[in-house]
Amino acid sequence: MSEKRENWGSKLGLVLAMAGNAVGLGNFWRFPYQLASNGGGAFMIPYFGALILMGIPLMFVEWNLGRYGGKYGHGTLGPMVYLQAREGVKPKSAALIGALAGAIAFGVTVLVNSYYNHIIGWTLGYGVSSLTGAYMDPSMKTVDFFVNYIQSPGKVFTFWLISLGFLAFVAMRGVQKGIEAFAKIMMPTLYVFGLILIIRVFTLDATVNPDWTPIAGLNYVWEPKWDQLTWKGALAAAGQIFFTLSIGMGIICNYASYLKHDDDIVLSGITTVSLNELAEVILGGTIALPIAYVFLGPEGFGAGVGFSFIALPNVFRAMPAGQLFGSLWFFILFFAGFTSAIAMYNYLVALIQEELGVVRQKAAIMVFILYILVGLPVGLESIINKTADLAYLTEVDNWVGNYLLVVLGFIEVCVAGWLMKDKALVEINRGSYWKLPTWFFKLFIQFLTPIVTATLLIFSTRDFWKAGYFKWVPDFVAGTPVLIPWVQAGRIVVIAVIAIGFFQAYNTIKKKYGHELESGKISVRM
Amino acid sequence: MTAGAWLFIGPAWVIILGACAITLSALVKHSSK
Repeated sequence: MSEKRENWGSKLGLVLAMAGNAVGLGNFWRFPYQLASNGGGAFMIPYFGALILMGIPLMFVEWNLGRYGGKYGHGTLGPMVYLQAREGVKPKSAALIGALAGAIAFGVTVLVNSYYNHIIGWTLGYGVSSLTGAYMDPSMKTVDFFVNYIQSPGKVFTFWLISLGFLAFVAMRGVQKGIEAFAKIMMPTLYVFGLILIIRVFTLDATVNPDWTPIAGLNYVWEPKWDQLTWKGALAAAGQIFFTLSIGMGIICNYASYLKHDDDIVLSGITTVSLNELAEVILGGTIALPIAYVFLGPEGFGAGVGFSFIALPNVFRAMPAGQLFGSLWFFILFFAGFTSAIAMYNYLVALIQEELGVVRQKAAIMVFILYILVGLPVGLESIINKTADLAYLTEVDNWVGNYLLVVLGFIEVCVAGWLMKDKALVEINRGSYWKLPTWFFKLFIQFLTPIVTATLLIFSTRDFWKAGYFKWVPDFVAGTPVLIPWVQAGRIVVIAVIAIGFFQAYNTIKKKYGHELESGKISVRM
Repeated sequence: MTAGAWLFIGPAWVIILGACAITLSALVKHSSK
C-alpha cells in the first residue's frame, strides 16, 4: 500500500465517529417500533440483557480486531480475523475462517448500503419537502405522497445521487478531514435537534383528543405488557442490539483499524455504546411515538418505513410549526443514516486501497460507481413496477441486514475467546484507560456471549424457516407475482456478492501470509 | 404516567445518562493527561 496508514485526530473525534457509525436509522425508527410491539417497558429487560451479554462484549472484540489488524496495515475483516484465528488453529484453517468473516462483511457493506443509501436519500428528500411544505397539502394522503416519491425517478435519483455524492466527498477527504470532521458536526447537531424535539413533544397540547397527551403516549409505549414479552420479543431485542450497535458488520473493526496500537479500547468502546443508547432509548424512545400518539392515537403506531414516511408527516401537518419540526426530524434521520453509511462506504474504500494499491480518492470514486450499480435495482423496482412493496430491499435486508450479522458476531467472539484466548485480553487491555478484568473476559467473551449468540442464531434460523424466508419464492412475495423475479434476483445477488467477498478475502490473506499457509507456522509478527 | 412505565423509563434514563456522563468525563480527563 503506497499511502501511510491514517489515524484519528482526537479521542473526541474518534468517539463521535464511532457513535455516528453506530447511531443510525435503527435508533430512531426501528427501536421505537420494536419497543412498542414487543411488550413496551418489559422489552427493556431482554434489551438490556442482550446489551450486556452480546452488545458490549462484541464491541470490545470488534475494536480489538480492528486495532490489531490495523497494526499489520489491514482495514478489512478477513485478514483481521485471520491474524487472531491463527493463534489457535493452523494458518490454513485460520485463512478459511478469515475468508468467511471477510465474505460476510463484504456482503453487508456492499448490499446493506445499496439500500441504506436510498433510504438516506429519502430522508434528505423529506427533509427538503418539510422545509418547502411539499407534503403539507391536506388534500393529498401522506401514503400517496410516499408512493409518488418512490415511484418518481426524478425524486428518487436526485436525492439518492446527492447523498452518494456527499458520501464520496467525505470519504475522499479521509479519516480525519472527512469522517471525523463531519462526525464532529453531525453528531452534536443530531443530539441538539433531538433535544429540541423532546421539548416540543412534551409541550404539545392534546388538540385532537383530550386523552391523547404526550405523557399518555409515553405511557403507552413504556407501560410493561408482560403478555407480549415472548421468546419472539427476546429475539427482536437481541437483533436490535446487533443492528443498533453496528456489530457483525465489520465497520466498527474498520474504524478501529485507524487507532494507534496503544490507543484506548475499553473506555472508548463503552462511551460509544453509551452514546448509541442515548440516541436510541432516550431520543428514539421518547420522540417519535409520543408525538404520533398526540395526533394519531394508539392506532398511529406503525413499523419502520411506513411510520417514518407516512404516519409522521401527518403529525407534522397537524402540529404548529410542523414544517420546522418535520425538517428537524428528517435531518436527524439523515445525519444518523449518513454517519452510518459513511462507515460502510469507508470499509469498501479501505478494501480497494489494500487490494488494488490505489489512493483513497480513486478508491472512493470506484466505490461510488459500485454503489450506483448495486443500488439501481433498489430504486428501479418501485419506478418500473409502480409498486411500493420494496420486495428486493426486503429480501436483501433479511439476509445481510439481519441474519448474517449474528453469524459474523458468533465467528468473531469464538475467534477472540477460543482461538486467541488470553492474548485477546492482553491486547484489549493494551493502552486501555479502563482495564477489562479477567473474570469478564472468561465469563462473557469465552462463555456467555458465544452461547447466547449461538442460541440467537439457532432460533433466528428456525424463525426464518417458519416465515418462509428460505423458500425460493419466499412467503412475503408469494402474493405479488410481478415482484417474484426481483426477490429471486436479490437472493442471487446476495449469494454472488458473498462468494466474491470470500474469494477476495482469502486472496488478500494469501497475498501477505501465503508462506504461513504453506509452512503451517506463523512468521509475520509486528 | 403509570408506575409500571416509570419503573422502566426512570432506571433506563438514569443508567444511560449516567453512563454517558461518566464515560465522557473519564475520556476527557484521560485525553488531557
